[in-house]
Amino acid sequence: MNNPKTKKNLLVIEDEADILFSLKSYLESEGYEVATAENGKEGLTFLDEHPMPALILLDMKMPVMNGWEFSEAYRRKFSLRAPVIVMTAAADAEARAREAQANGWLGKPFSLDEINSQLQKFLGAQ
Amino acid sequence: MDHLNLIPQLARARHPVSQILWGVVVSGIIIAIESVFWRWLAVSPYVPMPLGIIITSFFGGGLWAGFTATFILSFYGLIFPGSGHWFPSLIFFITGVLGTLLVDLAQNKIRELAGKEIRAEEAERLKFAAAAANIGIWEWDIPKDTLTWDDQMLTFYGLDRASFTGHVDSWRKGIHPEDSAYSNQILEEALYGKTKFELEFRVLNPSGQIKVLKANGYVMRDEKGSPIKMFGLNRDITGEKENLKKMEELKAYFEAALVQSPAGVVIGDAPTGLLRFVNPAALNIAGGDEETLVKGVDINRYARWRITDMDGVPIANEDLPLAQAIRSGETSSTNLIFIRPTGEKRVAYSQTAPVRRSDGSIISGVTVFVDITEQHKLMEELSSAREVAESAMRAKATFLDIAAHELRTPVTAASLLTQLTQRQLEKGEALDKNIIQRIRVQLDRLSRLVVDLLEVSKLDRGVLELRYEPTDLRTLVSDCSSTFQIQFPDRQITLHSSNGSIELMLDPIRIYEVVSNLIDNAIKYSPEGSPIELVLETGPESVRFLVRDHGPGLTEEGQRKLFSAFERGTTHEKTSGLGLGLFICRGIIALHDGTIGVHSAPGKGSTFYFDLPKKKEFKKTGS
Ligand SMILES: [Mg+2]
Repeated sequence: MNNPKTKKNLLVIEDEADILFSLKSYLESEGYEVATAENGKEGLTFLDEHPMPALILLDMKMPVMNGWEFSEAYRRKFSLRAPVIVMTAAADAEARAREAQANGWLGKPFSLDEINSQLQKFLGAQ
Repeated sequence: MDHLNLIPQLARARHPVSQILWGVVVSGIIIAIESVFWRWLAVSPYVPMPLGIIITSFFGGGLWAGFTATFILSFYGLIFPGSGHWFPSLIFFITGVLGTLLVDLAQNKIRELAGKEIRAEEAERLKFAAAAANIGIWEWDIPKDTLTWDDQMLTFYGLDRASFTGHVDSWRKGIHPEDSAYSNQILEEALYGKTKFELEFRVLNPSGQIKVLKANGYVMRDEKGSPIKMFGLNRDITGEKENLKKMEELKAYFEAALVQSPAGVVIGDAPTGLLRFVNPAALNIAGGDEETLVKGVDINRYARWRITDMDGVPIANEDLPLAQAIRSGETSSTNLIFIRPTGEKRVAYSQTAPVRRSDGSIISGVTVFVDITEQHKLMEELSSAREVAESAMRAKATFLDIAAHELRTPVTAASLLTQLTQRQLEKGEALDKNIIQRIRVQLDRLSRLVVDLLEVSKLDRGVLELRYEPTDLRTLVSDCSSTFQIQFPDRQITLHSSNGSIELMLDPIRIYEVVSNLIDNAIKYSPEGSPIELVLETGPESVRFLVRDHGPGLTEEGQRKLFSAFERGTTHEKTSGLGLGLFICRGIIALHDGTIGVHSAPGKGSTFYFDLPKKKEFKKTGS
């Protein structure tokens, strides 16, 4: 369906194994190259060692380094930044996204279609 | 007034010597004038003589002045140079004497007429003044026993002119019987010169009316010292007496009100600051007596009153509201703390104001205290209760946030896994058993959360019901332990217990839940592979179950928060769920009249335990 050379790279940072697994499986089936991290710290390490992905999906509540801490470090460390979409289970998801200065947000639970439309908004049709 | 003659002699004649001197002076002047102007006047020296007499007599003269001038001028006429006729001089002498007598007579008549007129006018004035001042005037001729009273006196004694005897018995009869002996005694003493006649006494009028009079009198004596006359005044002081009584009553009334006031009252004089008045309520608040707190104490030396502000900072004497009111007229209201000598603290609401004279200057300062210790305590309790309630509300709100998050996470996972499966099926791929298992785990997790929440809700509302059954606690713990051992084969779980059953009345399902929860926590919060010890101890009145782990241990703060709902003891990575387990355990044990607790210290592992009372011990019939 997709030319391997034009595959877009995504980074998904999420501590809940099943959510991470579902997102990775779905996004790969949609033709993305998906890297995963279980917390913010792992995410930063990945970014240090790899080129900037096209987009980052970020969970907020995570052990070791949460979404807020990651966002702060990310903004401080990188000048050329990929858009960040926050995934949160908090009641006021939009406010949390604003706190993290994210580009978009997904309130948990969300559907696969919702992810898709967010991705298209930032990356265009795959 | 007609009966008295108190008016001084209106025109007293000059002394005879002075009259004679006056006659000499006037005659001398006339003679001098005649001698100088004789030639030019060219008149008889006898002509001015009668004029001299008349002038002398009229202008401040008098009988003796007239006679002196007559004599001198007649003699002058006799010895006048070139005269030598004795006859005109004799005629002049006779007419001079007669003229002088005539002038004097006329002058006396004029004086008498003028005097009468003035006397009447003065009398009217005096009468008016006496009446206005409520003064009666009297005069007593002692040898004749003639008593003279003016109209005012008659009024005082309730008499009319007809019923007044004109003797001293009128006075004696008028005195109130109770004051009679004393009044007569004062009169006697005055007559014998022992005392002044000064007396306050009551009169009882024929009509029954009582008046209080004040009498002053003066005794006149003859050359032998015998009293011959008394005169003086009576003044009606009934009204004054009544006013004085009213004033005293009013003073007593306000004093009693201030003394008995439930509010403390302190009055300090300006500008000295001396405490003028301190009522018992104020002393009571300060916790002292008059001797220790008031005597010789001024604001500037208030040391014996220990007063602080609401933060317990002592207030310097010169900064006390009363001192400020006295000094600068400040009005203030504030709460103060009085520290009694016993150390007890009383909280008082005080209001302070200066007291001013009509010209605005400060005469004193007054502070009113009300003891509000109890109300203040209540307020503090209420506000701390409110804080507790607010903190509980905040904790609940936080908990709801966490609960929402925790519930959404498994829902999100299950939902995404399901959608993924759906897509795979749509694409004709085979059903992934692994994904179905993952969905199940997430739904189980969700289900546990919901059960926990329901249980907490029941405990919170006090509607969790127990189903008591005779149960062997040893078997229950042993079963639970075995289940965990199977689930975690790498952990060494040992149970130490005396042999034989421990039969208690309890809800086996709930107690199993507690035991399971404690073992589960021990496994979760201790390093992998480390052993878990379970102990059952039977005491005289209770049975203790404990779980010992080799985990990181807990701080005191952590231990305190452990058993409360909506507060997670730790942010351990492995922690999932709502941290409600121990709260639910505590609720269940409390319903069994037991206690639950933990012994722990950081780095030393934790021992969780619960005690169940033996009173619920099950006794088998017949054994
Ligand atoms: Mg998370």
